[in-house]
Amino acid sequence: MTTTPPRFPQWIISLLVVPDDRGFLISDLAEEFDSIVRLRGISAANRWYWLQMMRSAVPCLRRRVKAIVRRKIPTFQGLPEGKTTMQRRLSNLFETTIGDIRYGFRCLLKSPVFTVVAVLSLALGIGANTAMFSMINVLLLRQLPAKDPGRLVLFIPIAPHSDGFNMPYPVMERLRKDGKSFDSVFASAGATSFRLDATGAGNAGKGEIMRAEGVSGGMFAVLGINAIIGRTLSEDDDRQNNPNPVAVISYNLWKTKFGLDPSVLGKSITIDDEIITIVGVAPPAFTGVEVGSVSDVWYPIWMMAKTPNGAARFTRFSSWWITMLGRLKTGVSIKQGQAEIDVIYHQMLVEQAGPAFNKASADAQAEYLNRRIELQPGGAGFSRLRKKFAQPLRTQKRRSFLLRH
Amino acid sequence: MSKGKFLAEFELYMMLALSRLGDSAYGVSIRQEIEQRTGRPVSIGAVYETLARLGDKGFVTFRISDPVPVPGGRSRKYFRLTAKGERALQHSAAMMFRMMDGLDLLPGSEGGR
Repeated sequence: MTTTPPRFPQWIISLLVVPDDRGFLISDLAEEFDSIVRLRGISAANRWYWLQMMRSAVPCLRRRVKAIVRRKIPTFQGLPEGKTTMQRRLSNLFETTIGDIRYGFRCLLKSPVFTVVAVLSLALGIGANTAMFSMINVLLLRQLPAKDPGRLVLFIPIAPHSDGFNMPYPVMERLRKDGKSFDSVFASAGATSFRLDATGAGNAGKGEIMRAEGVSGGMFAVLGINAIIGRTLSEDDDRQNNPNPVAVISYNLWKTKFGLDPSVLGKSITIDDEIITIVGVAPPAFTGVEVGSVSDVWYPIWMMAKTPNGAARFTRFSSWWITMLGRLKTGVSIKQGQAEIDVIYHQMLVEQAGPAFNKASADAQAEYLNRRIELQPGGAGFSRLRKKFAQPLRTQKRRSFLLRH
Repeated sequence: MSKGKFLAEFELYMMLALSRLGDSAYGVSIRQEIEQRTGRPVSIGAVYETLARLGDKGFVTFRISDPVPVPGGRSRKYFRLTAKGERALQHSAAMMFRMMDGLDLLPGSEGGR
């Protein structure tokens, strides 16, 4: 009967042992394993193998580290007799460290209750810190998978009618036209839920609930994100009454609904009674520009003009509904971009107020003109959650740091 | 004799096992020899580590055998004492006997002079 030693301990041993001895040591273990199988059965042989692995781990690791140290420090080689001072010191340090570790383990084993409490405390502490860091990473640190995210900026309105992100569509068009500091800007209407009918049969209201996001045709170009198959949206797709509406789908949707089938291009899906043709698939890392909101479909924002009263939203200065991102031109700082926006937005405010502006009191004029759009770094996308939790998270991060030190 | 030429306890066991096994000393036989004679559990990792250390001191050398003539048989690494190793073993054994001389330590010994 042919038996093979348990794979996991064999793998551990082969990782730890120096390459020169690996084959011989594994072969020796296999030989003894076979004889134990014949004499005492497979269970006993497996137990013996695991025990050998555990007992061999420290000596094998010790030798491996010594071999690495010896290889990395050239003064170790070619010496006629004895050890150099450095070699002796390193050797002593290594022996002492290994001895300390073993002593530590023995002490822990002698006090199992203390060990359990200590391990649980550590696990809770590490777990809590990991969760905190994950949250900080997602909300504050992680960058969009965009090209040169350092040049992306968020447009944050400081105005009474905005929720802190939303602004009127005409502002975006004006900045796109007149803003000299930007390569381009784009709008997102945010992701909304819809039922996806992937059959293309126009069965509105049927199928799974998905998230679709109306975005400017230039969004992908501004972000520097290319489709993994097909193409992304273009400015030409994003126009009113486009008879051939198109969409880009997420990699996740392509995988789960279309089985990564490349022939998905040209297929139709239905969103709000509208049959849309899929023209491309976004890369896996891109799930949208809003942190914490995953989009499955991106379609041209002008498609939203087809909804009742939809077209009016694109021209009214009083409809606050889009979020806006842009890319600064190379060499232009946020401060320079801000100065330009201040001028353009001020002009817009005065134009929109019209003759009524001059009739208003000085206080009302000052309050009205106090509205502004603030530029902020946009490489990490925008997030309503971030705005809500940024300060508490930073405080918590500082507190954790102080507690640790 | 410099400090590096003295043998630690496990090194001494290893050298004695090599001396006893002669040409048939390889990982398995050495491990079993020490384990059976001392009654102390010995890991194969410790055997190879100690042999490497003894090799560094010039006490042990090795040769690689042809593959064992069984299906799937692999080469073995056979170890033996060098002349320097034999001198070190004799020296350690002599010191051991000198230290034990007159003490009632071995089972069944008369002890004392």
